[in-house]
Amino acid sequence: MKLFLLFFPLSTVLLVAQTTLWTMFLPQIPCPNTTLLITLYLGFHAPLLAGGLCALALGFLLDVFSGVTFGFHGMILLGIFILTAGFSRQLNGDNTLTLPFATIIGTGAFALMSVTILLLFSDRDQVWLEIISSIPLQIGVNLVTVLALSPLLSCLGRIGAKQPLNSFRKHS
Amino acid sequence: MRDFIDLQKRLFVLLVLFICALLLYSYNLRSKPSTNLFERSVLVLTEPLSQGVTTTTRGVITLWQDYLNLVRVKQENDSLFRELQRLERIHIRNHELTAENLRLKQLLEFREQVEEQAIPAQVISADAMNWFQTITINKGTSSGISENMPVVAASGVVGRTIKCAANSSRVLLITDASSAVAALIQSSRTRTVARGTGYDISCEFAARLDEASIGDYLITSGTGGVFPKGIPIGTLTKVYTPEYGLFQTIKAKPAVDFSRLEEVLVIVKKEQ
Repeated sequence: MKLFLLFFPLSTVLLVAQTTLWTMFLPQIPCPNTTLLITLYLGFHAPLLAGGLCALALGFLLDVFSGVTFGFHGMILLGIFILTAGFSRQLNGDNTLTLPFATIIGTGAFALMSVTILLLFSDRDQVWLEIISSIPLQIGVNLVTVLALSPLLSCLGRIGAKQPLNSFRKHS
Repeated sequence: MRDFIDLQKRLFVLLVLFICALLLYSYNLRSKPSTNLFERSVLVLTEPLSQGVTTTTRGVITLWQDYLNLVRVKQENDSLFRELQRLERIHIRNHELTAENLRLKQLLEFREQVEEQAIPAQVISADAMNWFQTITINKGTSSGISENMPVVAASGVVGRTIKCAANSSRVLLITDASSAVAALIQSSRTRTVARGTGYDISCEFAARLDEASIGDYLITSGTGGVFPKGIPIGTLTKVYTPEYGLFQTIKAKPAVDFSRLEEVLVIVKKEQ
């Protein structure tokens, strides 16, 4: 619950900023996917169930600010969380390079999952090429953003855990 | 062993959640556009923030362009140019006012042309992702707006409302891949469906033998049930007529410049 109360408002503020300020000042550059970055962070540091629910809620939040059909991003971000949480046991989540590495893989996975779901379920079959072609630039933007957001995420993670992040997941 | 079973249980719960999310998405995809309680709540809570950020930023930009730049220039120049700068500042302000006046006048004139009641609204934010084409406006159900209402600008069709809260609504632009508008090629009266491709418009189901030329205007046909007849959608930029087959391949450029869109009109039909 504490994780939700910390990361949900943060994600809301970031989404409002990127839908208003980013599009006004940097219209030619794709928006960073801040919700995905928070989900990746949760995948490394949050308990499985609480993190999963939080990722689903963040996805639903993103659905309010983006897209046409409610549930699209919720499903994708939950999938990304499950994958990240699964792999996080093999990786050192506290290494500063792990989250940027996960961002590269996560951005690609997000795009591929989006394309797959859009092709399988909806009639937006023209958009797949646009999504695929935007991956390299999106990775660059997300990498810069994750480097800028990492201190804030770590700080919120510590507040949410009330203990060092290393021991957070072991105790959960 | 107990830890392992516990982990499997949690994974199972997450997988069940994932399947529920999939079913929810699938259900929403097949049902009529509507705004659920969660969406309404988030839109209501974030609307003042979005509106505040947008208004403040636009104000600061205007202040910067109209005043601060001039102050800086004024400080850099000597006294011989002071009078010239004052006149220049007035000229720029007048130019801005003239442009604004013209834009609002066009909007008002357009409003008079439209038979239905039109609600003016301001664009307050864009879509959070890059491959969806939606915008958020600062009017909602409290102004009489509901889902599936046509949204237009002075130069043509913008899109239709898909999510509505009390004081804000999300509008699906005609360039979005899931948008389809019943259309006519104005000169030849060829019927087609204007579908978004993400950045421009593709005209589907235009019969191969019907006439279509580059530069022709594309207008709403009024048969789709959402848009009134005769509103400009765009102009044809590419026409390819195959030797065989049923349909032509036609591309069109939207009449509205979405990157500069600030004010729109939501058309509320009389019977609604």
